[in-house]
Amino acid sequence: MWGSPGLLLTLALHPALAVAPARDYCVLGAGPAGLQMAYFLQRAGRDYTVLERAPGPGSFFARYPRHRKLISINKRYTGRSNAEFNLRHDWNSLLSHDPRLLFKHYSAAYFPDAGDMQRYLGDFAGRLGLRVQYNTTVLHVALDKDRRAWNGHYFVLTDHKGRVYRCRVLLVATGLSVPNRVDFPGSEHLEGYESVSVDPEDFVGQNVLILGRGNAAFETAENILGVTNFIHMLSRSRVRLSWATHYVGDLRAINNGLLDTYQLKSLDGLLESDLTDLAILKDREGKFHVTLKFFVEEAGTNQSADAVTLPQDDSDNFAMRVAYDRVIRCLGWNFDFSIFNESLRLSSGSEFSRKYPLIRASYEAKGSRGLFVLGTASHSVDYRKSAGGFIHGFRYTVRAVHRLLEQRHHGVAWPATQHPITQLTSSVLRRVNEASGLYQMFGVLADVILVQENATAFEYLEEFPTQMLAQLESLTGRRARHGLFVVHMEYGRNFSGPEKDVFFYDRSVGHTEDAWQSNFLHPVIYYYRHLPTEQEVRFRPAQWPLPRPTAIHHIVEDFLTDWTAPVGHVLPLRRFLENCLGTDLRSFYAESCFLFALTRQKLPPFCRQGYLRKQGLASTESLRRHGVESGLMQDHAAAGQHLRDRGQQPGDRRPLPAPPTEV
Amino acid sequence: MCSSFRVFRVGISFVTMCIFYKSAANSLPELSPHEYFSTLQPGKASLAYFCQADSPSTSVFLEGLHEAVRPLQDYGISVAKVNCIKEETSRYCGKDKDLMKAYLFRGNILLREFPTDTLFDENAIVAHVLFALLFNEVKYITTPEDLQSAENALKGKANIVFSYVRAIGTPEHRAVMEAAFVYGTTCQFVLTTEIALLESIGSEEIEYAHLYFFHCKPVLDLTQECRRILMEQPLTTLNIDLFIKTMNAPLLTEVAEDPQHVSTVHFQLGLPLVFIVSQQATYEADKRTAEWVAWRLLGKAGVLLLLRDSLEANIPQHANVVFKRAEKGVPVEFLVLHDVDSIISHVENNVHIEEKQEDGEDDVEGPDIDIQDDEVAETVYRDRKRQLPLELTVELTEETFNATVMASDSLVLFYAGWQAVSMAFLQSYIDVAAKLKGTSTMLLTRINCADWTDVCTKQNVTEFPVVKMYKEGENPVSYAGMLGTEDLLKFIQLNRISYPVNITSIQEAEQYLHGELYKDLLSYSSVSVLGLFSPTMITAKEDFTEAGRALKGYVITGVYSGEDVLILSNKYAVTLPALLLARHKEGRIESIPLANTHAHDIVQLITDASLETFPEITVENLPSYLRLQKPLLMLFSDGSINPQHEKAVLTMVEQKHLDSLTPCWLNLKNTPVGRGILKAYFDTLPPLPLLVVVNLHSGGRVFAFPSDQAITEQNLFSWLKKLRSRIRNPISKCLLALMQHSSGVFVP
Repeated sequence: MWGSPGLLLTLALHPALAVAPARDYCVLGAGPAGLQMAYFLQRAGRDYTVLERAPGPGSFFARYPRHRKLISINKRYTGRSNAEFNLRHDWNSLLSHDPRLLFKHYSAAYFPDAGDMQRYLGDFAGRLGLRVQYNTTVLHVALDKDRRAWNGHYFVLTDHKGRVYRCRVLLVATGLSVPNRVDFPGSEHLEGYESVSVDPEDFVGQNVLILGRGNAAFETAENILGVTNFIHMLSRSRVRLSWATHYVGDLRAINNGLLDTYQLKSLDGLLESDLTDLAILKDREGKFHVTLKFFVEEAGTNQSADAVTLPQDDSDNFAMRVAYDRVIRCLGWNFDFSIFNESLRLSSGSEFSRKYPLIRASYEAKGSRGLFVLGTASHSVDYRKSAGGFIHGFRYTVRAVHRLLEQRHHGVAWPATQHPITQLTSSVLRRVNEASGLYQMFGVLADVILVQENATAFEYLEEFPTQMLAQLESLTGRRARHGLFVVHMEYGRNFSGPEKDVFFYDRSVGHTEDAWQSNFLHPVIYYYRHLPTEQEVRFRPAQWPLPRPTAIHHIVEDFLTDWTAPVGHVLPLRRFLENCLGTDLRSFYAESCFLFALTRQKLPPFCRQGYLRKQGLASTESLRRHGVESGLMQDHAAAGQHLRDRGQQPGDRRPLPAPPTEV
Repeated sequence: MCSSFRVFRVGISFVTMCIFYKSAANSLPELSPHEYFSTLQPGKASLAYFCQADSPSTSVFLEGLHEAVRPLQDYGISVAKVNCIKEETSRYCGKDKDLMKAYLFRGNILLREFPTDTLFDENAIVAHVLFALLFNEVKYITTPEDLQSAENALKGKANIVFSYVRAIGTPEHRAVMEAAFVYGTTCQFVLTTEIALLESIGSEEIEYAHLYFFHCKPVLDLTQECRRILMEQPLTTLNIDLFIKTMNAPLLTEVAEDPQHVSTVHFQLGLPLVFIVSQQATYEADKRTAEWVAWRLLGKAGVLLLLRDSLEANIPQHANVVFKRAEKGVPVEFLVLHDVDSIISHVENNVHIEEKQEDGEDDVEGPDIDIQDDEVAETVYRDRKRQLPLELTVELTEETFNATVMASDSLVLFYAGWQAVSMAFLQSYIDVAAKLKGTSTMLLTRINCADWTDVCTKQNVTEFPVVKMYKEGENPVSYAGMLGTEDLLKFIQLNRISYPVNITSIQEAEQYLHGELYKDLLSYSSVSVLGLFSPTMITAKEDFTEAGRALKGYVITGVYSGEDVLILSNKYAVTLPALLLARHKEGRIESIPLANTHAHDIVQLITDASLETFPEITVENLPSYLRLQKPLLMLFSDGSINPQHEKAVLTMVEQKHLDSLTPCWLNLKNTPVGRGILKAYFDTLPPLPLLVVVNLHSGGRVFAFPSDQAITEQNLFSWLKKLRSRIRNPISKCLLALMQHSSGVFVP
């Protein structure tokens, strides 16, 4: 029906174009990602609008997940009051300055109800006064070339009423809305996850075949597990358990009841086969038989269940030889490409990420400048790796996109704090111990520390997309001329995978020397003497998140994710930073600095930046005593006593160095 | 016993015989197949590399082959490169250019063929070729059972040299093969590359190649194990040769001559000798002891039984062991050792000196990684279990922060519980709270940013520790002084009044200047500053007010701009606008004119003016004086300063002789760390008092005033004069150097 809508519409609506005023930012979709972006735009005082087809925000959650239970964790208690840290364990809240807009105030359930999410999003949009235009279905997006526009063109959006919106930047946060279908003979007999009954009563005493192996498939199975005769689950690839892959999009333990009954011989079962080779036949009783596409093609025009060969005819122990009462398709969703005119060149990704539009690591579409993809649809960047397809991940990537836009269009450099070099260890420690963006978006977002000339100071940038490291200067408006550190969190390199045993004996690493072998999520600090080039980033070693650095440091994994142990964590980190910069990052009491000031030419930065600026650190009696006991500090008073005693003995006076007069 | 030398010599003579067809020993002859086969001699081994005539003349393999020509010739193996030319086809000439191989012949019998990639370098070539030739001498095994059966087969017959190498073709493998070439006829060589095999005989560090000598020849009972001796040195040809030689030497030798002149194969091989002194009466027991010692020291030292009775040389009566070091010319040691273990340990402690040193280095590196060298971190950690009276301060949270700092004048310490500097300062902060308890209107509070990160960020605090003062109606002020009890206390006290103080009358101004107005604050501020302005000088007054605010908490400032201000300016003989500076301790009031001076400069002016002319240097005030960038003329005194010395310096100051220096003194009683400084300058603590010039800013030199002179004005003057001429106009580089050596101490 929309054969060549672009041309038609552009022609028809051209007169309207001239009158439509241009907006700086248009956000498509008022789901979590769209609202998150709206929040940042609003706080920055930008000209923006959100276009949403439903009458309220988060319409996805009105229907999905079908069984209403969100599998994102709503952890209300951590034993910590640090708000930033707590976001590490809050998978549902969006980022805002308003502590009332934390999801924990909306649900007490660990796995909350989808209705609460919708209510939460409603409050988020309402309380913050986000500018959302509801009931507006954008049917078509095209480009209007204009050299004066920010990106060389305007995005022209047309809604269902024919209204036209001209936008300088288009932020697409429409999620994945098109159910994924596989086309094979008999696929018309399938029921889809989007419409299948959720009432277990409808499945009593039935044989059920489910196609798919994601959380939706298992969620569907979980719901009817107790009432069916058995459930068979069929998909191309092996099951991927999220606790083995460390990827939250894989099968979560909360849904995996069927694995339990399968392995405990309770008739349910998992099968692997390529769905495109299949065919489903419906017999006279309305039951479904699984056969191969090949047999159907062989049978020619007579495609009744009796006429087509079934696999069990040749191989009488064929696993799926029983007749099924229902076949349910739970194969996930695809991005809706249909509204985008070809001129936007918004194509889909490669094999692994076909369901996502093709974007760069900066979330900008590869095909058109100024078009950014946010939220679930942007997951191609870290598909099967990190959390970018989920609220607890994309809330940070949206913020990163906003920071890029601020720099690109408003000259607002990426936020950074400036510190004297003495604060370097502390700055890293603070972030690795509380930063939620680094923790949730491990492997994707990283903090960047730009060392200033002579390594006397540094700038600290938070949550920069690591894959864009080569373009850091232009994207952030900051200079990286004197080396940089990248602070990153990683699982052990061979720890994650669908077939991995994550409970093996000796999996935890406790010794500092073995820190690089840490398996659980732990901070890794990369040091580059020079900003890596695009080539270096692109052709980095396989499995490496970043190009080979000048030096690298792993902070040993910690059971409590508390990396503050003075000797286990802080000391090795400090030594690493010192070695990279060739400087002394120890702290000293004023007394030591005093001694250095009168006996050395070059003072450690802590003395130079503190003591010499009259901001030395005084010791107390108790600390001094410990210092002497540890051997790190001298007891000058006692030494004096000792020497004085000796001094009373005759003949003990050593001659002084000859005075200059004798030269 | 292996009679190795003979075999070795045969090998060598063989070599000299067979270099007949080449002039330069290292060159690789290039022959046609026909030429090559015509040179082959019966029984003689040769390695030939067959290659296409048009193949590149250089390759990694060929480089290795060139290198291997010489060593292989040493073993009587000739090497040639055979060019396959079209006219002469040979079955050794492969069809494919890339599939050319090297072949090992004995006579014209093909022994082995080698793909060129197994012969990746000189070591690999030599190792592989010898391995192929010594097929019988070197048994390759893969399982512990193989080893066991080899061992059993040789018990009572021959000894075994068992070695593990990580791979065939490694330098260690070559070394073993070279040893096998020499000793292969007398000892059985057994080789493995299986780690599991090595583990089965109890080796721990399997990262490296290992070589064991199994003493199987003396074993006559099949159920008995062969004694295994591990070679501790790295596997090199020389080490293996020495090791096998000592293994083959007699276990125990009886001698009856002066130990000084005794030499055995051990000694020739660079091992020490241990003589067990025996006499007729205890001969049998001594011999058993000596044999036991010899077993234990196998491969480490030679053991001899010295018969005292038949000896002419003099051996001290009590000595029972004589130790002769491997180093030539070192006199023997006569020892009294009471058990075998002490003999062993004496030898081990004195032999492997080189190894010991290597170990020592490792030890230094090892623990270094987790030994804390940050004094603040270490002291805070050691103090972690002490309970601080934290209740003296109010702990703030996200909920209470705003309400608290708005309700009363508050001081807030922003700290992080995990940060050592924060926690060290927290102790001083609590001390301040204890000192102020019940006397101050200022509320002392703290907030742990590790818990309340958002509050800290909102207050613009991103580093720790930070102290801020919140007062009603004013912007919060960050404390910029020293992180210690005294300075913070001073800051709090001085903040009790507003800045600058608005003086309302001449009378009040006089009270202010004479320290009567804020008597209780005088101990916190060395000077009181009064800005004088006529009522019309609005800008100047504003600048001063701004400066006063900037100095708030550090210096008392006041301002007077009444109509009758001229009375004051006349009295203190200064034109307006002006500053009056009251030094309370010295009872002096100075005046400084202010003309078009900006706030920033006024701050500087006041800061400089509040410095003393001959201060007692302390840890706290040194930075203020270092800022002047002048060499320090510093008098170290153990206790109060001698008034005469003080007078001498002050007189010099008045006469402007010390303008280029910062005169100061240090009381070791108040500032004990001064001793550390003196020790750094002079290594040992010199007699006090002592006057030095410390020139930190150019070259870091220290000059000491002659200790035999009295510190008087005159002596000081002439010393400084000489010093100055040398500092400013170094007469020659030579003289400078001399100065540095004889009188100056360089600060590193």
